[in-house]
Amino acid sequence: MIRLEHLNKRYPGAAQAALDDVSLHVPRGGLFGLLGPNGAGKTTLMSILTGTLTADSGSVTIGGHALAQEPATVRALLGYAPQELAFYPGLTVAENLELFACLTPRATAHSLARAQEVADLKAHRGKRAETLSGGLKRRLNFAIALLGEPQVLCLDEATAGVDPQSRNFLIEAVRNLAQDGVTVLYSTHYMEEIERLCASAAILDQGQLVAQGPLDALRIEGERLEAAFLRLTHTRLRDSI
Amino acid sequence: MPYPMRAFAALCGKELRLLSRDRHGLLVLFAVPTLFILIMSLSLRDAFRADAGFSIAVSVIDEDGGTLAHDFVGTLWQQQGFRQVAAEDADVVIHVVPGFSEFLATRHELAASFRDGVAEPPMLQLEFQPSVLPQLRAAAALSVRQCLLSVQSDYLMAEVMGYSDAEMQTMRYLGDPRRLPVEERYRSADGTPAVTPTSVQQNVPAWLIFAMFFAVIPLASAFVVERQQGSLLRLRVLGVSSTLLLASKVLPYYLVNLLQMVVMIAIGVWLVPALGGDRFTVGHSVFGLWMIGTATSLAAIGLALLVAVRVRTTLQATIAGGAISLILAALGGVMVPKLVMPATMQQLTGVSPMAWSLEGFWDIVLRQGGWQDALPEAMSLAGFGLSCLALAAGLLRRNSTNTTTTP
Repeated sequence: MIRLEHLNKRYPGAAQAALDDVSLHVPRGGLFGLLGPNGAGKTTLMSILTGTLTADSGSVTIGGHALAQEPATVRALLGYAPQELAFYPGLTVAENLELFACLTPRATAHSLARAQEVADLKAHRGKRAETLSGGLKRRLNFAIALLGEPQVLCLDEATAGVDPQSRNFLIEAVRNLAQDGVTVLYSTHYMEEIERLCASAAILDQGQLVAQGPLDALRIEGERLEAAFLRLTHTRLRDSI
Repeated sequence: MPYPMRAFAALCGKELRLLSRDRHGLLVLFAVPTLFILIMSLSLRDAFRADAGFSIAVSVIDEDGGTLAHDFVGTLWQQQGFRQVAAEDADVVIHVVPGFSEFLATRHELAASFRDGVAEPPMLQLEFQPSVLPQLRAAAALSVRQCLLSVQSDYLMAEVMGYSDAEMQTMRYLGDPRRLPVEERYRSADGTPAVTPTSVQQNVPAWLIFAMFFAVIPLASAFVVERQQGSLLRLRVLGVSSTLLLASKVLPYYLVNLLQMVVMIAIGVWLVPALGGDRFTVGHSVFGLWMIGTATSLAAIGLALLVAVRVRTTLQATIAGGAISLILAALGGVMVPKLVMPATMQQLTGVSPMAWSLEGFWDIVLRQGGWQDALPEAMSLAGFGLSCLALAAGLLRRNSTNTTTTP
């Protein structure tokens, strides 16, 4: 469903490439984890995938459509919940959903109602987004990504900063979507979420794909995913320089 | 509704909704200019009146005590603008020096030698407080000299030339510069009598223009918040183009600017006169007013969006937006009327789009011109606004494609 071929990206003035010959294949209807330390290139990869950043070279194909040739078609297939809470705090929940529904080409009244239902926001429609709890804000961020009934859902730190109940709710919602046939690319720092949700994952480090495949293939026998992650990416702090 | 129209309408609605909930933004856009118009129009009311004269606290110390000195002091107190106070409270103390009366009575006999260069001793000494403005000092000194001249002329006509009372009345009439038959009037664009400039005619357009340009602060701040919170990123993922994004900000703020225009003009027409000021006169061309208002709005929004795409934080937006607006206002004759500036500063006003706008508004509301008279200024403002918008769109597009995403 998602095919990235030999992606390269170097930011102007940067000594090191943000992405260095990254190739990745995510099959249709799966839950695929994307792991990496800070600065590994996860957000760069997500940005290229969602069309907000241009790769220096390489190609992105989603659902058989090349992003470079058919950006509008690819956009229509994609839903994206960025790491930031990407909505308008001064608007109510309902106003945010309606606004982004108007801006999402494939959104309908039905998809709006469905997104609201999946994120369980009905009781909070009239509340200003700025007054919501951290968990509700994450749910609103997530719901907006669902407005176009996407076939591919890219979630970047979807549960960052929320309580265990909200995290559990979001994880279950993502699992249900995957069961309905949505392909999910799930980027996070929480290893237990990947272990709970995903059958396969890729680990990025310093712009390079250091491992990808089924979780069992990434782990040495009996090893936790976190231990495997540290073994593959080493323990040196990445943002201390 | 086709997608681009639907998206445009939704983004415009979002902008208006957010602005209507932004109390600080509304305060900046409506309350601040309203207060400026009221304060400046009322406090500068008399400065724009040709017949307003002056008022100064005066103390006279007569060290001569003669008849002519007595006549001079009597004449002085008949003048408008001189308020008699004690010496310690006076803005100016007038010393009538000893020998005043004798000297005034013989001055005509010595005039030939004074013409030949003999130094003339002072008859009066005027001591002003340093806090007295130069214009007030000049007006008061001129009035004192006219009193002195009047006493001297009366003495010469009565005692030296032996005029009768009737002849003296005639000579006084002929010698009064205010009675000379000279017609003064303000000329409009088509040569017909124009509206008399008042502080409200100056201040309503000036602070309206300032308010329109001050939209840079809420607009740029909202844009920064949009970028920092990731809403802008989400719009880009959804395929909202830079052009659509900027256009969706131009229309709501244009509507806000039009509302500012209606509110500020209404304040000038109704509120300022109710508080004792002059009434604002709109002029004959409502279309001309709309045209120059629209062009000013385009320039203001273009500049605001250019600032918005350049700044990175709300603090930068507030500081840069506020500083640019204040500098353009100071240069453009909004804060200090262009007419009172020195020639070099008057030339410098040409660099400020606020000055172009002020001239355009004056073409309509002061010179009573039609829309054609304000067209050159409107074209300059529109050109400036469109250039800023094009630059902002270019910068936004460049940022969007390569540099804004955090690695």
